[in-house]
Amino acid sequence: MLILSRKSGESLIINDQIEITITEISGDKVKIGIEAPLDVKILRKELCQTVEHNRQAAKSVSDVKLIELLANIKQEL
Amino acid sequence: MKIRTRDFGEVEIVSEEVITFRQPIYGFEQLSRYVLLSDELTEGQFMWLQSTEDERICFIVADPQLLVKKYHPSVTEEIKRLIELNAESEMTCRVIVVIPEEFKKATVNLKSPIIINNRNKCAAQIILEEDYPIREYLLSAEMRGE
Repeated sequence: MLILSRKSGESLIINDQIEITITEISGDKVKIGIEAPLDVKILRKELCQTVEHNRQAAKSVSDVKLIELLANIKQEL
Repeated sequence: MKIRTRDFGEVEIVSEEVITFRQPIYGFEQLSRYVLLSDELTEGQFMWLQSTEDERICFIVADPQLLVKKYHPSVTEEIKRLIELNAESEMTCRVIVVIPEEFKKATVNLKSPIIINNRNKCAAQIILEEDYPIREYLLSAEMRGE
């Protein structure tokens, strides 16, 4: 992974198209401004991971009696 | 009214039980209405969040308070307004479970709980600012056989 140091107000440019600016740093948070073409999809990673988790969750466990399985898990907790 | 469900066949529900997601379950934006179904064997711990619009879509959800000590999701003012939540006391929180073929490796998403307003049955899946894992094993390493 490329790691760069940036100060508040400084930017970096990716592929001549996308500009990422550090707009504010406070405590353990940074605010980031992104300028990119409209067709560039930008999502928070945890949102992508949540979508993936939800999609897996919606898949039924095949050929298993889910209720008994959950009751087993419940007993083991 | 009667609805068709993925795991329980046809089920009779009362319309007051229908939960309306004002911020949908991520990845399932086309669906907004669900019911919570329970089974006496898993009551309290696990429930079925069944779509009333698509019988194939159903999530197993768990009560996080019974899984994790001190789980206090902070609901933003924006979400409180969205689901008209006036007090924490009228809120139910559930987390989504993934049960793989190897069921002992089941995980819960503690980062993105479902918040339900018990009074008006409006709900939202939210992503917390707090540092909770998206995949937390339900069972300990020992119980998973690792």
